[in-house]
Amino acid sequence: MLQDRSIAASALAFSCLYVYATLSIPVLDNIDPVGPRVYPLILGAGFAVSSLWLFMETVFAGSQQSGQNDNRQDGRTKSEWMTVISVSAWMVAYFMALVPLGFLLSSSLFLLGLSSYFNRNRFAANAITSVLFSIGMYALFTRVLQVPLPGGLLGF
Amino acid sequence: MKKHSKLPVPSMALITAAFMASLALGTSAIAQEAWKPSKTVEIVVGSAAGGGNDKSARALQKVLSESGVTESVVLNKTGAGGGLAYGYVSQKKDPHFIGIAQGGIMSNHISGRSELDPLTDVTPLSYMGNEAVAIAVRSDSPYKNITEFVEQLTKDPASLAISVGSDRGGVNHGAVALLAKERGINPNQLKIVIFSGGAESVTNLLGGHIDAMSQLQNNAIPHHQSGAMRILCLTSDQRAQAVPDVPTCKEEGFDVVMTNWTVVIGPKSLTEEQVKGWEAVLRDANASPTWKALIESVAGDGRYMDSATTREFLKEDYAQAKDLMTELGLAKKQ
Amino acid sequence: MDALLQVIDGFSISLQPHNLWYTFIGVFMGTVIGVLPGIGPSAAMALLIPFCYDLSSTSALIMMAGIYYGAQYGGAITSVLINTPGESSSVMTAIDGYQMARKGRAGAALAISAWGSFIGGTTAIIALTIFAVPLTTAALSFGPPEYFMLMLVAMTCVFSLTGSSPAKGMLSTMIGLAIATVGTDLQSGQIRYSFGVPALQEGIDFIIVVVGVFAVGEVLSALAEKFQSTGDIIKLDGKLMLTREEWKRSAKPVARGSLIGFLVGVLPGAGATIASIVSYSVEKSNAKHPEEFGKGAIEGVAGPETANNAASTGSMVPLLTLGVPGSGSTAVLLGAFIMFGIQPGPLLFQNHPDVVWGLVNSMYVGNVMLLLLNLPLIFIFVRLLYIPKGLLFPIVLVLATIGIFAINNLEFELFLCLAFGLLGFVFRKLDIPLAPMVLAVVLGSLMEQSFRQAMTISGGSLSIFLHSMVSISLAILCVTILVFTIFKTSIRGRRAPAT
Repeated sequence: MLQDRSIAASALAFSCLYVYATLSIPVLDNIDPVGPRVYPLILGAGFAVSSLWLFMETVFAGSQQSGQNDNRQDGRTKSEWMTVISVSAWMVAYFMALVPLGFLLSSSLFLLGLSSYFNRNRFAANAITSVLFSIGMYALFTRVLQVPLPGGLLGF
Repeated sequence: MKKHSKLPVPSMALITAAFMASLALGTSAIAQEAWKPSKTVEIVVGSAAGGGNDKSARALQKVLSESGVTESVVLNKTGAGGGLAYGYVSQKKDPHFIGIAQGGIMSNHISGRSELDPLTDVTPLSYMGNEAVAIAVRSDSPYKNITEFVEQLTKDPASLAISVGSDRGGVNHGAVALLAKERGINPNQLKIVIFSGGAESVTNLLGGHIDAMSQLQNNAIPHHQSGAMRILCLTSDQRAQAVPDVPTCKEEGFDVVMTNWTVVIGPKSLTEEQVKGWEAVLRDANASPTWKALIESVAGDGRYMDSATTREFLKEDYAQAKDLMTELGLAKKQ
Repeated sequence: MDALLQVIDGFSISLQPHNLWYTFIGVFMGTVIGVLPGIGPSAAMALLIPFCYDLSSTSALIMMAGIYYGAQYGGAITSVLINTPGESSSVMTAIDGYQMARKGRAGAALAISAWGSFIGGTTAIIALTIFAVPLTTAALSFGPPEYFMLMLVAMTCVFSLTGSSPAKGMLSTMIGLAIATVGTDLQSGQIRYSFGVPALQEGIDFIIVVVGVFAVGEVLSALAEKFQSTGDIIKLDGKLMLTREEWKRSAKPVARGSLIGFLVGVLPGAGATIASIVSYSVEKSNAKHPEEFGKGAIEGVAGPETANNAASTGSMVPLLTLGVPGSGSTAVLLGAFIMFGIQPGPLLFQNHPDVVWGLVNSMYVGNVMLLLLNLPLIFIFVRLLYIPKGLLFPIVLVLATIGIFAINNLEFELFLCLAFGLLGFVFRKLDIPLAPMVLAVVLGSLMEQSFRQAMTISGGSLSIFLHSMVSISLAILCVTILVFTIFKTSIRGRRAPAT
């Protein structure tokens, strides 16, 4: 329930930011009875309503729900976040390498890296799949669909 | 496919090229051969596949390949009203990157959406044709001609809902704003409803939800022919062959010419030779059946202009657009 | 009887061997495109245009239309197997389809998708053949106020099916609507919330959100859980295809889905997506066990999958009779017509009956081909479930990357997609439903703009929203759904996992 209340608080904070950003949109002097700000302001109010509603839900449901967030749960969440952050970092590296290295090389490396970690002890199969899949996709897009992909170092 | 490899590896292609060059020298072509595209050309467009000027790019791709000039790929780069696409071409040091530009390259710089200055940051290669705007009403509308229509606006500028797709300050909006200005009406007082494209304008006009539309002519012509709509005037300098009964706005006494043109641009730094080379290629492309079919599909005007003429044309067009957008409050404040 | 002769003549055109071949190429490519996340049917059709110059107009249109409706079949496959809808109209399919797969019923979910799509598609073609012209007039009565009310109905439906916590459903919807406001405001031309990033000026392409939240988000959650709960490989359970019981449960959703899909599809706009939403919420409110929705109810797959296919055929009505495309993909199709010097519109049926009926009748054939193609493919696709997850999920990430990068060639959009993936992961952790947000991104801009257009037309008076019978009926429908939902959730105060 603590979790849901923090969601409600974040939603409220976000709505303030959103409304603040809305107020900086310039309004033109012409016939446009609504203008670019009004609808976002309504949305901002909608955020506030949903946040309050969520808060009310936690108040009413509070008695029924038992606290699930024991220590084991916390430890688990932490390790999950570690995984997610590492995978995201690996993806960022992949995105940055995509154009300079080209699709083939960067995708093969990306796949090989992830699969060696998540699909352990099957290096040969992982390596073959990574390379073949990258080549297959590259051929499909650049040859069959005529969609250019970054050629980079190994493009054909 | 391999583009701008930065490593100076003496590749097979290079060796072949050297070999070919020596062959060429050996034969009669010792005289300065004009520059020609020698590898895959990237045609960059500022809209998604299937939208906007992507169609022109794909037609050009087809023409270049058919005529044996070169193979090419179309690269879509949406963002900043085309600014990202043109910016990408602008900075290339290689003539094998070209872009297809339309009026947005002007208006988006004037409005400040795009940093790219169309008059200095790119090289105009050729003007490839244009399409005019049609001012159209439903056929049951009381307004029989453009004069009656504008007269009503003079009485009360906000009395008629006029649809415009797909952006404020674009060609379609500009056309009706200029018409109003011709009779001293403040264009900001017009009741302009923006739709996301010509299709929406058409349905809303046919369905009676709006009173008139100012839209590229290809949207209105089929409905004018079927009798569902009446085109009051076209903003071109001559009548369209597809609808010979429709006058130009000019004939009706409004000095308004506003078209959606297509110009092929190249990187900022091109040599004289390269510009000349592209001019020759594009002039042929402009005369090809595929390109003509594309122009005909919108009942447009397929006139050609070389690089220097296009540059002059763009200068004038920029000035006109800037005046109008300043009045509409859309120009970037300096 | 002239018209009947023309229809029959159309069959002789669409059954010519070379046209059968182009139908096959089209539907096959459509299936492939539908499976790939990111690249959608409109882009695929645009890419094909240069290859069509050499074909006859009828063959080229047959092939492009094949891609268009074929993609609707393909879209279900990834939704069911890896919880990754390739198009916005498959978002609803993923909700129960993926849960069915987790229960070992992936084969059944795919089979009912294929059958539903076939029946919906075919019904819609019959309706198109008979009613195309009269329905056009009805579609024209939808102006900005009616569209705004329709969007309100759609959003209320979305919101009503958000499972356990309506507050979280509303929050998710609001976030989606807010994302849809990013970019240049159509009416005023002002740029909103771009924070100086040029790529944000055109707004956030919904495909980035769909791929990010569903594909990337799902992979991140799955990889994160990998080392806690071991060996969570989905196995198939029982009969691969549909059981008699599943058939019985699906019959009515398929019938209703065909009808809803066709009618909604006729309206230009976000036809197939809205049709799938409406169908899902109709099935949920008619179900004997509404609590099964979101946990693998076959009705929740059968209805929307039928409806989105019927809608994509329905949107051929305004395209053919008015020359008005209702979506990006039909816009490309319109471009192809015009390229061949054929102007869709009121005169099309008189001037080019051979093209129209050749095309329409090829769709009957194409749907049969799609069924015959997709049913055996189920045997192959369910094998995907046996690929080790540690290998399958990285592959999905690469597919997502290509799909996004191929649209615009902007690295920024890849980072944006990853950001949405992280958001999807957080939403899953916090039990906030994802579908409302994604659908709100898809529909939000149309909702705001039709509101603004209506207000400009009326000169600022809200009464325009109650001017026509259509918008009044939509308003009543909207209020009814809302009251019904609030009433139902308040009497059934127990929690169910969000979708």
